[in-house]
Amino acid sequence: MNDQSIIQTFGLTRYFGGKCALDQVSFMVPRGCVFAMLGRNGSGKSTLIQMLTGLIEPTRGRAEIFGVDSSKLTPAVRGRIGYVPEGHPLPGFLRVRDLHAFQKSFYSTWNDKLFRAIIDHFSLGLTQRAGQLSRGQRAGLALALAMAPQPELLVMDDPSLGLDPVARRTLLEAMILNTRGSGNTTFFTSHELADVERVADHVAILDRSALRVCCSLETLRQRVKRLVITLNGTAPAELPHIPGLLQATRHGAELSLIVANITDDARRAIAGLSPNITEAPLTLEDAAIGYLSDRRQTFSLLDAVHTDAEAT
Amino acid sequence: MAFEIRILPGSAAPIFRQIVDQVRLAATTGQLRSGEQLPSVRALAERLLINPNTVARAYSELASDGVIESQPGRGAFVSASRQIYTRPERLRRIEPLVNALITEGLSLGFAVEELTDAIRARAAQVRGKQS
Amino acid sequence: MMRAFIVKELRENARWALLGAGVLSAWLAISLYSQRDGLSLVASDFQLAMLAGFLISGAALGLAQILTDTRRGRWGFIANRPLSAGRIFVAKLLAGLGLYYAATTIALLVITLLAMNTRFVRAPFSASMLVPAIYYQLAGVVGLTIGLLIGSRRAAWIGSRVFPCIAGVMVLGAALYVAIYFSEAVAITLAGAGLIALAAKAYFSHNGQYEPQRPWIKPLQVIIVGAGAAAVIALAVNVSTEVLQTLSGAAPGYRMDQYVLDRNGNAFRYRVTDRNTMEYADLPGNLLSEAESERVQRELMPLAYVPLADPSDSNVPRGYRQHYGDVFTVSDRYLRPMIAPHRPAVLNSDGTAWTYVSARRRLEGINIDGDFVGSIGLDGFHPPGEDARPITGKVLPGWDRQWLTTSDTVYRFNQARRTLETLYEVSPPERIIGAWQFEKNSPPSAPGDIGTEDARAFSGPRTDYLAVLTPGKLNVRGHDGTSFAVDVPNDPQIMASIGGGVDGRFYLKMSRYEGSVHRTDVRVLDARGQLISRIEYPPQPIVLPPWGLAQLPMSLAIPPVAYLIPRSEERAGVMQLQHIIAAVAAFVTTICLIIWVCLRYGFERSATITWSVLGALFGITALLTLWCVRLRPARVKCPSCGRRRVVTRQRCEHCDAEFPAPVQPDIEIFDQPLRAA
Repeated sequence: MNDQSIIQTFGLTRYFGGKCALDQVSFMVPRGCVFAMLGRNGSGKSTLIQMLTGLIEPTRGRAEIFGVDSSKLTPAVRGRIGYVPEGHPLPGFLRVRDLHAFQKSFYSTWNDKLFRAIIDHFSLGLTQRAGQLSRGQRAGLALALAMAPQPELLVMDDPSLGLDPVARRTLLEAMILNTRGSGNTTFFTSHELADVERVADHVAILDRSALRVCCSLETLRQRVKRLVITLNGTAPAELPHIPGLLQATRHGAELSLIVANITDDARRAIAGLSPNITEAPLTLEDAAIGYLSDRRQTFSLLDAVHTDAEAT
Repeated sequence: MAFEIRILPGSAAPIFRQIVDQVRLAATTGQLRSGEQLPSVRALAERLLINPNTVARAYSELASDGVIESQPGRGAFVSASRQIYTRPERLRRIEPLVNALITEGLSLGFAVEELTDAIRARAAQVRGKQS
Repeated sequence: MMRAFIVKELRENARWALLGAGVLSAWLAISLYSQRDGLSLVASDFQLAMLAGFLISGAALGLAQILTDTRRGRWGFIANRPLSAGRIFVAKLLAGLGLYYAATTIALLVITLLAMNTRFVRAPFSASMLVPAIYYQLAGVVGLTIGLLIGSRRAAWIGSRVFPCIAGVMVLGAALYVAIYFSEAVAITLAGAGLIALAAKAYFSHNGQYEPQRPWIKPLQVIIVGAGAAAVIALAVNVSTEVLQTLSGAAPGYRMDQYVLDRNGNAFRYRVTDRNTMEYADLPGNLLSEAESERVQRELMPLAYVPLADPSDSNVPRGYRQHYGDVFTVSDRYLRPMIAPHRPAVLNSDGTAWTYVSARRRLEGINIDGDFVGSIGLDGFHPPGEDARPITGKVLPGWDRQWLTTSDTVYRFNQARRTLETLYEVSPPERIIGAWQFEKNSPPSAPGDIGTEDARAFSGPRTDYLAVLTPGKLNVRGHDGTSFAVDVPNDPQIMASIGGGVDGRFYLKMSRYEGSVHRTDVRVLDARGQLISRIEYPPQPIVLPPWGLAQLPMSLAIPPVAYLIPRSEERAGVMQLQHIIAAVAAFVTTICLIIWVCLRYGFERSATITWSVLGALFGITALLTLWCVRLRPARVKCPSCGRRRVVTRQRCEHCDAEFPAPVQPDIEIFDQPLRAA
């Protein structure tokens, strides 16, 4: 166990019935970082978080938080974790003020100023019932309840889901605020790549239940490249095997390839297609979509386009 | 403060690179005077809504490039401008910008001369402001 | 912290409790208003309504408490706090108890106010009538814990999720039918609710946080679910037996045979078949025609059931002591020990109601407005302010409403004269053990004999004769001057009854099991108790119904352990070969199936052994319980050997291969020490 890791998983696997939701995921979240987990809907992000926080049991493998097995989290360890579940569920009948009093009584580290600041930002009234709040307001309340105890680890499951731009910005502010305490770690999942780029320094990508990427944002940018090839003459019926190819799209004579971990083999294979290769700039979004899109489907689309062109 | 960093997530340039470039440009064009204090890492991070580590990374790159000096406990200051890159490195750094200018300019139908004229005119403006 | 959780639970669920209080009050008010036997709060149908109302309220509250918080997502908010799931459960339980008692007490208050108001209920009210209600309110706590358990236990709703209901039924059954005294019933109920709550707590803790549980919790959970499984199997056996019997068209077997007497003293065989129909036959066993059967049924001799044993005799088993007297409602049993025979007398025709008050040892009456009208003692009626002479001797329980039996005297309460008439008296050291009345066996056509059902209900049964049991003797007295005594054995095994009166003849019927037969004999006595004749009827052998397809479900489902319990030899002896073959086949199949399930789902060796033993003891019930209790891991095709393997095991149980890692090295980017062990 590494002193510097807050979360560590070892071959974490979960099945729902015969369907594998998470397949042997092993990774580590270092202390003090903002860790973003990306993945499409149903790729196992929520399952992963529920196993990390000990809410469901793994089928195989295990997870550790603060060096404690997730399935045996003691109340003391739980007190160091702030958790915002997906969709910001809260006891709907309780008023904001009740939830405030409720949550406050559990934590000696409760920061009332912080709570009120977040509540004000989301323009919440103390007498409103949680069930009658708008989606953004409820998100704010859930966030305030999770952050006010000043947890060492803040785990958020898709916190920006369904938020309007203003609420999303406030969420970002809160996440930045959470980095103030040195050693505070944030682990969140998101579909908002722009937000991830702003606040995250580590990123992991779940691709259909398997973990493909877990590195710093910089490493990801360095290791994923976009190459644009201008095809001369007829396009090949099928792409040759290119190691590390994530996505290939074709626009006319231009073939755009997103490739991870470019090796000499990959370069040779690409050079075989056409000598005319330029490296094009790549955004984080491109890189992520390269991983998340269905690789096989891209080939078939390419084939379709190709046969189409031949027929005409 | 006249100098303001704007970042654009979702662009091809990483955020820390955007900060580095903007501070460097401001220092070069004189928008930031030497000795001027930059906002603290935390303050800038909270203003830009980005991870403080990103700001710290940008500052450390600027410091190692000699654009700024960070004085422990006091903050970061713009250093007296000096050239720290070798010529080939400087050429390498300017290359993508030149490429972009030429590609865009030619495709818009400008002649190369027209582009150089435009550069000269703009450079004169920038120098005038600086002095 | 637990306090905060309790407050949250109270805040969140108070509205449900309030709603429950309203619905329960309405339900109880309607039941109270429509109860028929004029007994107000202690009427037996109202008791049933209370039991149902409290149980359902408790269970609904318990379910609501768990399900609101364990819904997807919400559970994350609830569970992730510095409070263990076990303590969260305890907080929920405490809050639930508070809400339950608040809501049900409101309902009880409403009911009490209604019962005190004679315009709503035309019956007198006494505070002690609330004793059964207080017990039923407690019984609802069992419902609450069952609700908590069903909510916490993860299983299919259309499946084993509702099985634990049976555990609640078992607890209440034990409390209502085993306990004799109020305190015993309370103790059994609390212990049962406590055990159910502990099992529920373990389920709840497992719902997310895994807390170490005491080793006996698991067996407890298995028992709770297994009871449901057993009930389901029993139901399945009943239904399938019924269906098979109808399909096979075989002649019905019988459940019970006994001899009955008609008013002329002729004996007939009366049989309840295993299809719950009734048959009358003459002594050689020929079935009577329908008309004849109807006549016999109409003209049955009224007999008083006379338990011959002395309940004060310590050799008499507990069960017989319990059955002493006419115990037919729970209220009787719980009221008796607390307030002795202080229970409402039947309403008098003048609108007054009379009650024996043990504290003052006299009858006390109130009018329809609840005003005290006076007391009746040995010296008759006394208006308020005067004291009647108290009744002497120990008052025996279980006497009918108009009758009062003490250890030395049997009194009849004469409503019209407001006096106690002495019907029978003994002088010490003799003592009375019990007394029963029976009506004269007059020809049924004689007018005015029996009276209408309503009149009976109002003024109590007709009493022509009185049978008084003293040690070793049954004494019979009648208005017609009959007076005799007959020696009887002090034997709880004998079912005795007495009736007669016409032509001065009395019939004492006694029957008992003797070896493999059920023997019945009737002594015909004259009005002085002299034996006229003694008729022994053909002994009835105890036989299992003949083998048929319909018996198959029962043979298959009987738990093997039942065969181990020593039984009277006659029952073991009549076991038929086909039954034995079916039972052994079921036994072997069950064990094979259990082992197959254990192997298929990769259970630990110890679990396989334990469940096989359980299967050997409990048969199909154990198999169903195993299926319901254990989570069965999914099985997927092994990429290595192609056979299906369980997903929970690291290595394939067939080929020992591990699951292949989902590695695609070309595209993976890790900047950490990769894939730590």
